[in-house]
Amino acid sequence: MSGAEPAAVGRPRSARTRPAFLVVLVVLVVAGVLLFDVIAIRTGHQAWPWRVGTGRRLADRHLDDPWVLAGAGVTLLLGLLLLWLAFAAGERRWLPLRDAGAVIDRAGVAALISERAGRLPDVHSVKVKVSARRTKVMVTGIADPAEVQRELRAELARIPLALPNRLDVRTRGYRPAPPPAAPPPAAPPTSASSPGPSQAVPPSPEPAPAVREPDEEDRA
Amino acid sequence: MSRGAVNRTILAVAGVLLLAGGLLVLAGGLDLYGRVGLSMPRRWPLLSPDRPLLGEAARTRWVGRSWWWPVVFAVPAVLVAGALAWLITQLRRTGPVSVELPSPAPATTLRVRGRAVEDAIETGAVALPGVQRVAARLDHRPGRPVVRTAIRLTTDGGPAELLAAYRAGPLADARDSLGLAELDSELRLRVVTAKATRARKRPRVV
Repeated sequence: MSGAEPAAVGRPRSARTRPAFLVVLVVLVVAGVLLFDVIAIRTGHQAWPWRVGTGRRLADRHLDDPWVLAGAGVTLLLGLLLLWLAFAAGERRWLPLRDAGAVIDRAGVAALISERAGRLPDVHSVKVKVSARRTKVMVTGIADPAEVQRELRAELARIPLALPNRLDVRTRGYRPAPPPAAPPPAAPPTSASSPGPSQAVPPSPEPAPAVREPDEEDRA
Repeated sequence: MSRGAVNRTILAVAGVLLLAGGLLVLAGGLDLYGRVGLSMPRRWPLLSPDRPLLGEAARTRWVGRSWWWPVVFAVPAVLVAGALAWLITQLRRTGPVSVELPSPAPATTLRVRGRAVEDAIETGAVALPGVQRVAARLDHRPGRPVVRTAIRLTTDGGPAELLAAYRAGPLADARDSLGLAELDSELRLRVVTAKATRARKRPRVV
């Protein structure tokens, strides 16, 4: 339910349906109860006892009462939260692409970068963090940093992002963990200690590529 | 005003009111005016820590005025009506979308169901290289249809190539078939790694 018109280029803006729903619900309940109560009083009925009690408490408590101060603090924070929701763009998951109306998810950009880095020789592990304006890559391994940087910059340039995205590549030499000092003595193959049924199961075959009609699956 | 703008206005107004109320009570309760040395106007509300939150005098100050009771009825009534109107516009489901085609005979109208357009776009897009999954939806913007598509790519596919192929292929086909000059579209791309794909496709052993 994204009713917001996307700008030609720029962050997509969330429609903010759910927080607005909560606010409207609270307004509806409070205003409805007040209206009911006012009508009851004007037509000669008793005021709702709960409202009378609330009115008396409001008159009794002074401003330096800790409950009043705590309530005011919570109200203030709630107001700040609602203002933030009103003005922040939201939809942080998506980055705009150069085509109007097209977006790509940040995890997808990270997947493309880390896949390319993982295919480079002498790269041991890759960590990628993508934010709106900056992509940070941490590579471990003995690969040449300049080479890694060149490759990953080329990969990022293949993604037609609408906003410039800086690439920071940091490489760290990979030191393998020292081998365990003394491997435990090999247990006899027919170990009596754990004759679990799991050992009787033959090793599962390599996951065969699922042969299915693409249409069938993709409609799911 | 779009739905997002309405929602954001509601949030902003509610936020400003809550913020102002909280600030007023905190300033009075912590006696910030006295400590800073501000001299506020005499009618300023909640001025000092020994005042009640809502005293008898404040509650009954305007009861005798002629406008009091109409306002007390009107404000909650307007709020309730506005809230109900908002809820109705949000919860109203639009019916199945369809697109009207230029009709050959003057007295007949020709319509294509939205589902048919969605099927055609999905079938075309799933055949593009690197595409793993497609979901398309036809919606209405005021006056014209818009196609919202979500595509999941594998890392073998390139986003730029996919965008070009999608625009030139399924989207252009749909636009031409519907006889439109322009067909608005929104596209959400996701990319999954080969590792994630393998993990998901492994058959479940029960």
